Amino acid sequence: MHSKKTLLFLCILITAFFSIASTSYGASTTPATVNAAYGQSTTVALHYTFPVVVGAGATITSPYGQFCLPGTVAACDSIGRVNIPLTTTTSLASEVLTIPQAVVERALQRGFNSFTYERNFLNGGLYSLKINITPGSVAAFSLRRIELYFDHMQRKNEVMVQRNHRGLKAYADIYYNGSGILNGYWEVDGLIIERVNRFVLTGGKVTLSTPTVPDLPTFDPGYHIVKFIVVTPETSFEVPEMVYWVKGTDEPAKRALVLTTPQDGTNIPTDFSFTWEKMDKAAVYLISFAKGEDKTICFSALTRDTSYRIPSSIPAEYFTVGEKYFWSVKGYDTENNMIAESGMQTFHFQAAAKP
Amino acid sequence: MKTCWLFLCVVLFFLPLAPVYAQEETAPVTDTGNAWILSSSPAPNEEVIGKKPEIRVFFTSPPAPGSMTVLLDGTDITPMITLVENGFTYKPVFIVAPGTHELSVLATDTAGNALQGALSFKTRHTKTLEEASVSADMTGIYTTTLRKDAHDGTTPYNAVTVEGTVQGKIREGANEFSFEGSPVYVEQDKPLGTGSVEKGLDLRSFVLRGEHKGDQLQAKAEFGDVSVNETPFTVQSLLRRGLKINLGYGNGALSFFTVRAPAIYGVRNTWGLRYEEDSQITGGSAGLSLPGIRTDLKATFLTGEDDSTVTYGISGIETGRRTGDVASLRVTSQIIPAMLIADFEAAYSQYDFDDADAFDEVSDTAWRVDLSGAVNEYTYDLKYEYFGRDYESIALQGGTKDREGVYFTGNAMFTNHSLSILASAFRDNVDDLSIMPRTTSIPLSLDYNYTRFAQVPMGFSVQHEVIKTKDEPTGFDPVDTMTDSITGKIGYVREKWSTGLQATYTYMNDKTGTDLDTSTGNYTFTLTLTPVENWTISLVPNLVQQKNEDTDVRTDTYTTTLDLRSQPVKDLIFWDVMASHVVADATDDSIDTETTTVNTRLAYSLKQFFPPYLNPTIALKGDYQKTKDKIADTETDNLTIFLAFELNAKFGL
Repeated sequence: MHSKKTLLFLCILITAFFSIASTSYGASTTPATVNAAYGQSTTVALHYTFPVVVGAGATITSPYGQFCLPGTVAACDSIGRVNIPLTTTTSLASEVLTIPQAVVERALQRGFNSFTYERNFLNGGLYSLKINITPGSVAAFSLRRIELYFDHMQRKNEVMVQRNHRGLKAYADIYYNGSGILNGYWEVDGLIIERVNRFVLTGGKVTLSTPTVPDLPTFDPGYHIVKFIVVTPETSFEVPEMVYWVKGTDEPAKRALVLTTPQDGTNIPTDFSFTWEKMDKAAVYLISFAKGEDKTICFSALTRDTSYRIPSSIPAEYFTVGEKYFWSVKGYDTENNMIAESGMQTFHFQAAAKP
Repeated sequence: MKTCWLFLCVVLFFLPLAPVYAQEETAPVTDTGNAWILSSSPAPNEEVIGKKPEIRVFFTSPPAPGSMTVLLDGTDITPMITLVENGFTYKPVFIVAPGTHELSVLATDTAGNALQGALSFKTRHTKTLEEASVSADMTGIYTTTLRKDAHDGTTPYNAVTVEGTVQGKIREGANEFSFEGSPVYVEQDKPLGTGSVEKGLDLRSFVLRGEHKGDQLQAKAEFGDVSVNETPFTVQSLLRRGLKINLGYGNGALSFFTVRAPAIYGVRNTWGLRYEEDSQITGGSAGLSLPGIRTDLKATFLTGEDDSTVTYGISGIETGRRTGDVASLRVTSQIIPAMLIADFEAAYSQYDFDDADAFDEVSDTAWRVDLSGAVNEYTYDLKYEYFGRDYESIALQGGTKDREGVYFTGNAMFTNHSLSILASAFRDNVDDLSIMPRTTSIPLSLDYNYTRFAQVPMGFSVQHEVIKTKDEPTGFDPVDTMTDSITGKIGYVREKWSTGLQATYTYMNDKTGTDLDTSTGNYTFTLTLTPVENWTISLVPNLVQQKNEDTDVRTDTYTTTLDLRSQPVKDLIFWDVMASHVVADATDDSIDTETTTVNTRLAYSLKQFFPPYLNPTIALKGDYQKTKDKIADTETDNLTIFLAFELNAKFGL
């Protein structure tokens, strides 16, 4: 019991000493004040400036930091502790501080809407950061959570694609407090494919995606690791990563199939011949006719030729004169892989000429 | 579980698959009333075993040349048939789905009289099962390092990786069972550089699915990596390892799920079968559809615990064991079908952000009313949302809380224009606590695209946001910022090349006394060339400028990426390059760095020497990275060269 009192006395003495020492050194913390979100943890980058270095090359060190309630001068009324030592031999030191949700809650339950974060530096003095408790929208801009996924609909975090697959994208849901400039970059196997620098609104969440050009590289079979590296705001947690696997087979190159006749949007007789350009390696073509706003397929045909004429017995059952129809063609190779696809064009059947 | 898996594979492997083709002999057509069709294979209403059954039809009298049209399930297959004496044969191009099929034949005889015949038949894949299929697609890669400059302790000298997919499906009547899995094997002489892959054999992801699709009863059970979706306030798009069951009977629906809270990679650590007390999310829902009033009701409840901080693909700031429950009631009604849809949800949550600390769980509510619809070219969505100060779903961690507001989104899609508008206004501190300020945020945005010229797509977008606090307690610095952002984009698309330019400028005006204004600019130019077939080059230079208007310090970051995909000899030699060059420079000389990274691959296909189901390639790969920091006066230069042998194998039954 006696030793505990002695220890407490010593702590108070040391704290008071450093408080006085810090005043004499004119110590500063950047920023001097931060807003911490109620109901969630907040991360903030702190920079300490030591105006006077005690002796050339002297080590300035702080074994821990603590969150203190206001009202006491000599001793910290601690509501939390950060057991991470900070050491420097220069006039600067930095740390990425997480203000835990529980600490904010403790301060609120004790009736305070602000508290401080303090660090005693041996050879450096006492440094204090004022923390105001605020709603998340005006809290310091800080990231709370990052979720990576590939498929925007199913949110898959692993995917397998064929070699030279085009259009593979990764997405990142980033949850944050406050608002500000989000600076970071997408990296694949250590290679930067896009830099992101944008202002994010006070929504609490933003979804980023890798660019369309260049898309995620798929030329090399095997594993590829995707990360979204955050530069600012600084995070206290390691950014996540996810893996995609490129198979050792080439994705059949899907080329654009060019429709030749009829011209888009024209009126044609029912015995008109639909034609398109020949596609190398195409063994069979599927010509599809669709109608309505939802472009429902109403009739289709398979052919090995590059033209197709709707049989005379068909139109009355499947088509209506004057109605707008869409047509398109797909080409398949001998292994039934789709290797070519056209866009959709429109046409109308005109009434047969009266004799 | 391993035994079950093995048993399943063995069963599927030895399934008695019948010959692919239909019966050799043709049966007389007697019961269709199609007097013109003499005989056919398949015979009318016959059940055929096979995936691509050959069809043979013979007529009582030959049709006039060129007059015949043959439709199979509404598709004209006339150009694909082979004419034989008094009939035709057809070998399907694609797999014919199991089930009932309709074949109809139209023609005229030489006298010009109409001839018509039709027959219906069924197909199934095997004698015992209506549908049965199993397939595998595996790729193995052996890599040896020829040169490496960086001794990072992770780049291996020799490595073997094998990965692929195995999937199968069996169906009989209304019952279906399917599985998907991604086996993986990794071995190398250095530690693996990522936490997501472990050495040895593993099953990266899997799902086993059983389904019953009856007229009244629909049931679906999934085990493995399942996606859980209930309502926006409870759980949405949660892809996790566990069990999910859905039941539907008439207008009613029930669901149950129990999944691990963290994302799990592989099965070596866990199959996810065991209930994990500290990291499991369990819940269910009951739904009722009332078609008479076009309304759906849904009640959802879930409970869970999560003690993870970093899991596969996800990182977060929160530590400790979080626990929580959520209950929600949702009503969706098509008041005017498609034009006016009302969606209401009210939810109640209990949540403890750290059950080891001194604080008990907190509870709160959230609710929303959403009106949306589409009228001609226009769509709209008007929503009011309220999230209590302590509202949180254990399955939607990090979500919105302590906010209420109104949101409007509108879209208009015309022939040559498209426009979308977002306008919202919301505030926080919903409990009006005097010890905290109240913030009002008003974000507005407009996006316009002009598509009159397909070759020259263009558009712009504008964003404006005001954030302002009021009722600030003593000692709190007020916030009053106005942020404006404008983006312009234009492209030019030709057959063999395309180009685009996008520029964004953002200015954040801090209207308080601190006056910490910031501006950023982001300029991207895109050039894609396809000079010849199988050659594509993309070059994307980008400049990002960020300026602190208070200190006048500006940081410029130039990033240029190059993407080359080519086949110098078509289908034989492949050469691909992905490279980036980044220069970062600050006007106060705090940053001055340069980074160049190049990944390239030169490959030769050996496919011509192997059977069609094997696809081997030999490749020379190089990774080069150079970094230069002029402030720190450091420079690194690393080149790594690999020789790789890649083999892909595919099979299917």
